[in-house]
Amino acid sequence: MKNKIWRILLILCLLGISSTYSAAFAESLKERFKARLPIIKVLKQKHIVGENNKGFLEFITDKKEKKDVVDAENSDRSKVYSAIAKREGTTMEVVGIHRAAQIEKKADPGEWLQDARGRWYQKK
Amino acid sequence: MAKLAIALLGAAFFLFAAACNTRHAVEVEPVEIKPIHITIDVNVRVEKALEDFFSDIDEAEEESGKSPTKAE
Repeated sequence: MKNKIWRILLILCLLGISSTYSAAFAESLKERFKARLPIIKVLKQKHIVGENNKGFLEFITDKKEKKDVVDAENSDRSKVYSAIAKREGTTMEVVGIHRAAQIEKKADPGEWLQDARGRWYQKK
Repeated sequence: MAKLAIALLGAAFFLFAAACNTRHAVEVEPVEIKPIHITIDVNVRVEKALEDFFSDIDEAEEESGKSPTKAE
């Protein structure tokens, strides 16, 4: 009986630790996203990157400025999409498509976006 | 001899006709059509999950957009 209680307590502790870790991980991800915002904004204003129809940043010119920042942003987006996909029982691609639609709505005029057919256009 | 040939031909024809007259019962398993509300429900949940995660990031972006950004 005592062993059973200890086991239950241990499981509860582990669950608590893992949920705390997940929350902390999500918060650190958010901080990284926020830190990169100004750089990505400038890249978009200079028409170096655009938002593709899969929810990721993509270079639209040969000039691959701040490639490390773009790669880091896409890597973190991939982690978020993957986590949501797993939780909601769908695929990363579906989540990415939904995020692309959200990004399109709030994009500034002049930003490059990719439509569902793969065609690049500037938001009016 | 001719009568035998005719009889054999008749029998062959009868057998052929009987073979052509077959009936096949094909059992088709009922096709499972997933209810459409499950697909819509997943889309709604995905949208909400994305909004929950990215809302403050998007807000921060909007705030930064209000102040002029100096292009490098």
